[in-house]
Amino acid sequence: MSDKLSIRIEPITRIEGHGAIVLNAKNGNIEEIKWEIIEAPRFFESIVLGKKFDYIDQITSRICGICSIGHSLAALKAVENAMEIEISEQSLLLRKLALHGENIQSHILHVGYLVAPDLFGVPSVLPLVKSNPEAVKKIISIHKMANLLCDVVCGRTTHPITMCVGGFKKIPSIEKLKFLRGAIDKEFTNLKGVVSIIFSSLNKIPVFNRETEYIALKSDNEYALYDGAIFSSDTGKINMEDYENIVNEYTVEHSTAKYTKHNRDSYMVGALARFNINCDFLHNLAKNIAKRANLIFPCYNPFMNTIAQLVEIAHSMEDAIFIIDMLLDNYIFDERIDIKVKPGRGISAVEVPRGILFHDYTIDENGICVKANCVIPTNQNHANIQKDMECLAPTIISKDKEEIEHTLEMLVRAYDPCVSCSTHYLKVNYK
Amino acid sequence: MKLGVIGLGNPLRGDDAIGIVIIEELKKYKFDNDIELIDGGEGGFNILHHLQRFTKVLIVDAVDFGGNVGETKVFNINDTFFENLHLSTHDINICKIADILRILGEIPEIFIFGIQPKNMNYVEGLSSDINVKKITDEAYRIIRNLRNNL
Repeated sequence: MSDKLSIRIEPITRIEGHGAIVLNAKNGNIEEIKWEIIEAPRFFESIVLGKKFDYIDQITSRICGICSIGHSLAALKAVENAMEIEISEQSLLLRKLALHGENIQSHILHVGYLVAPDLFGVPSVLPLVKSNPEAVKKIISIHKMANLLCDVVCGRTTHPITMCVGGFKKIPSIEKLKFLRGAIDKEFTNLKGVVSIIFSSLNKIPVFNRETEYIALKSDNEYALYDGAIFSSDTGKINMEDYENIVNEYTVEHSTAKYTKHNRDSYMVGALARFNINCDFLHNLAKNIAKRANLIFPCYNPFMNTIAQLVEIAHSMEDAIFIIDMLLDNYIFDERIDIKVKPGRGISAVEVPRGILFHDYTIDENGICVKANCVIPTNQNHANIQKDMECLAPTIISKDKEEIEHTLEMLVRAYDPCVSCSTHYLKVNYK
Repeated sequence: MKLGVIGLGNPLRGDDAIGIVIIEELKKYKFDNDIELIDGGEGGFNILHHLQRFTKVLIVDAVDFGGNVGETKVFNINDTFFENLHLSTHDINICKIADILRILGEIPEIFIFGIQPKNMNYVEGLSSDINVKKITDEAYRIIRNLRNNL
C-alpha cells in the first residue's frame, strides 16, 4: 500500500440519487472520511403551504417515486389526526395492504437489482441477467406482483389515486382482490428461489458490527408498519408529539440533507431497525428466512439490512394474504366519506421501506395547511452511515484500494438510501 | 393483448413530453381490443413488465436523431442507432431493458416512433414547431400497419 491514499467515489452507483464517499489516509491512518450528499435541495414543505388539506397527500406523494404510497399514507394520517377524522376498519386494512405492496416492490428492487450484483461479483444487473437468468426472472416476477398489488389497491403503481382523507375513494372489487391473492400466492415459490440464490452468496456480506440506536414503530400485536408507537432500542417508547426531540435535525457542511441524532451521535432506521424492534411479530416464513440467514436479534451489522429486507418481503407477502382474506370475509363495501374541516395540528409516523417517516401539518379553520414538516428515513440514516464509515474504514485500510472502495460502496448501498428524498429541507433566507 | 403502444416522456422537460401527449391524443381514436395505449411516464424498470405482456410494442418518444424539429422516424430497437445509445432522460434506458428481455428470451418486437425534439430544458409545453395533430395521425397509421401485421 502506498503512503497516501485518496478516494473519491462520485456518484455511488446503484442507489437512488447522488451521494459521494471521500476518504483520505496517510500511512494507514484515516485523515478524512465523509459521506457527502450533493443533490440540490427540494422544497416540499413550502409547496404544501397554502394548499387545501386534501391536496397534501397528492403533493407529498411526489417526494418519492419509490415510496409514494408511504408519503401519501403519512400525509393522510397526519391530516386525519389534525382534523380528528377516523377511518373505517376496511380502509385501515386496505392502507396496510397498500403499504405491503410498496414494501415488497421497493425491497425486491433493492435486493434483486441493486445489491445482488455485489453478491455475485458483477458490476450491475445486466451481467447478472447473463450469469443468473433464472434468478432475474424470479425477481422480475415478484416485482411485477408487487406492482399489481399497488395497482389494485391504489389505482396505479406509483402516486396512489384511490386513497383520500377519511378512507378510500374507490374500493377494489372482490374479483380483483381474489385475482391479487392468487398472484401473491404464486410468488412464494419464486421468493423461495430468490432466497436460496441470495443464501448461496451470504459469505459476500461483510462481517462488521457496530451497535447503534435503532428506532422504529412498535405495536403490541403486529409487526408495526402502518401504525404503532415510536420506539427506541435505547430509551423505549416515545410520544408521537415528541418526534422533533427524536430527530433533532442539524446540518453539516458536506451535505445538502439534514442529519439527525437522538440518544447517541447517530441512529438507524429501516428494515434492520424494524427487525431489531419487532422480530417477534414476523410471520412464519419470514422468521424461517431470518433464522436460516443467521439474522438473529439483536443484529448490529448494517450490511444485514439487505437480509432484513428479504425477510420483510416474505412477511409482507404473508400478511397481504391474511389481509385480503380478512377483507374478502368481512368487508368490501363502498364508503361514504363525510369530512368536516376542523383546525388543528396532526403528526404521523409510518414505516416506509427505508424506515420511519414523519409528517406533521397544521391545518387552519378553512382547511388550509399553514405549517408543514416531513422527516424522511434516509435523513435519519445519514449520520449513522457516516459513523459506520468512520468505524469501518480503519479495519479495511490495509486492503487494496479497489476493495476499500467496493466495501464502502456496499455499506452505503446496504442502507438503500433514497438521497433525492432526503434533500428538501434546506431553509433559504432571502435577503 | 398483442400490441402495446407506450408513450414515454416528462411533461416538465419541454418537448420530452411528446410521447405522453401523443398517447393522450391517440385515446380519442378507436382501436381494437388487442391494442393497449400506455402512458409510460419516465419509464424505468416498470416498463419491463409492460414489454413482457406484448408480442409487439411501439414506443413513442422524443428521439434526437438530427432531423428537423417535429420530424418523425420509425426505428427498430435493433437498429445500430439504438445499439449505441447510452444516454436517456428516462431512468434506465429502453435499450438496456430490451437487453435484459433479450437475454431472458422474453423480448417482443420493439419499434420506436421517434419525434425530433427542439427544447428539452425544464419548461412546460411543447415547442410551437411541433405539430401534434400531424404526428398523432402518423402514429395512428403506424399502429394500424403494425396491427394488420400481428
